[in-house]
Amino acid sequence: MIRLENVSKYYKSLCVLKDINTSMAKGSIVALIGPSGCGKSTLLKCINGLTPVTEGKIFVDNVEITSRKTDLNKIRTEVGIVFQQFNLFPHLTVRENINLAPLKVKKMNKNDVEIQTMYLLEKVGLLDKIDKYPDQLSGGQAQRVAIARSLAMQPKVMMFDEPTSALDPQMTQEVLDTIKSLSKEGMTMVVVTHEMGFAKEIADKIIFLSRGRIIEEGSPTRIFNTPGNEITEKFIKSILKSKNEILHTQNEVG
Amino acid sequence: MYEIDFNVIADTLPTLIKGIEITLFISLISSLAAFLIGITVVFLRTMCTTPFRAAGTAYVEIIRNTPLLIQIYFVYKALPGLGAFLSPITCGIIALSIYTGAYISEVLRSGVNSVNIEQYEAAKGLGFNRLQSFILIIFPQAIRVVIPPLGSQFINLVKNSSLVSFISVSDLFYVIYKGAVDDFRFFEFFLVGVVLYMTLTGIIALASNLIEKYVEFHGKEVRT
Ligand SMILES: Nc1ncnc2c1ncn2[C@@H]1O[C@H](COP(=O)(O)OP(=O)(O)O)[C@@H](O)[C@H]1O
Ligand SMILES: [Mg+2]
Repeated sequence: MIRLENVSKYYKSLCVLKDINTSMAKGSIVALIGPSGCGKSTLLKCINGLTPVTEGKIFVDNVEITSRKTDLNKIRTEVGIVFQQFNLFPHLTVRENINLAPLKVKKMNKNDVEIQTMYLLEKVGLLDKIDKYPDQLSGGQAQRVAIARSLAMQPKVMMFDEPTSALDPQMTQEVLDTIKSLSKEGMTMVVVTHEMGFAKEIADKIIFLSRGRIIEEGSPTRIFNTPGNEITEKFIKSILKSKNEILHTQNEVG
Repeated sequence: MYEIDFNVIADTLPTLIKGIEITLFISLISSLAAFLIGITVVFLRTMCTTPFRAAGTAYVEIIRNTPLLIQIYFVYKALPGLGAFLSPITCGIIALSIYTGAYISEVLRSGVNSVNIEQYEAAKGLGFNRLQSFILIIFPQAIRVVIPPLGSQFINLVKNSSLVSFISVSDLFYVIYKGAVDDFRFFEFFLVGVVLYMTLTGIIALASNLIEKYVEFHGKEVRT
């Protein structure tokens, strides 16, 4: 479904991604993990053409998106992206947020769009919020609307960039549940996350990125149980440790 | 001793009304045109490639740094030399639109700059092209935060429209001035002028306040 060949990305002289070679199978779920600033967001943005690569090739569904000839707006409709900060359009209602791209970009029929929007909101459990504005939603609700908005374009791939990092634990759970339910439907997904338990549970493959390079990739069991690399091991431990500390302090306070 | 006598106003009422009509007409058309120019220029300057940005910037700087009166005369006297013969009113409208358009584009630009960069990414990520992103997503958010300064620009336009009297348009200012000079009734005519111009600009100020209240509810970005 997605294939990256020798992808490098520079911002001026700063090397953000270096020689990335990997592939993601159709219907599979890939979790992208790694320390902050290692290039995870940049990698996602390269995959749906939000930012150009400096070197290398990226194929989505056998179309080379890094070629000049490719219509990037079309690629972006095929690869949906959900951001950490939701980025809902604040001047539009939930309904309008979800309707807009199918109507204006895909030129879908208005009735079909309305029906699809209701279906998607039902799916993320927010049909009752259809006429609310984004500032009337909680963070978890806003993120689920953002997911519905992306799904409305009927993408072949969904990418999530730290979808729960801006949320408290309870809201995190509702968003993770939504993503999990999508995974059961066979959607190809790339998820950037610091939720190790979640990654382990849903991912078919884990890619560990450090300083712009893939330093390890493989099945969750292998990466978590027998990390072949010191950096990976350290990172996983540090994340699990900080999680435990949070739980600890919460228990003490509670 | 000067005796105040408002009867002179009553005598010139028909011309006065004609003057109000012309000022209203010029202001309305110029407002619309200036707004469209402002939107176009801000699109060029914020969403387009370097040559378009440069062209937009050059336009704004030239217009902002020359007197409106020169621009009015330029359109009125210089265009016919190039083969375009237009009525004085049309010339006035063209000059006022171009002049106010530059200021409006600056106001709108500050609004566009206040929109979060992530909104562009979200729009792009959904497949909107640049024009769609601008019209559907960026502009509606930008304009919400600049309603008061935008209102001021339309008020300025109404006041500046008095300068078209220099190219023999019988607008409100011209009628007042002529009445005052012909009858030596400066006090009466200029007082009426103040009241009438304030009424026109007051309506704009009021509308701007109402619009600002109306849009204030749902312009905020959601953050956790
Ligand atoms: N638009 C940009 N211009 C310059 N540098 C950038 C830009 N976007 C990201 N970077 C840099 O690229 C590196 C990787 O960023 P990012 O992909 O956001 O990392 P991550 O998502 O893993 O935290 C960081 O050092 C960041 O400062
Ligand atoms: Mg990131």
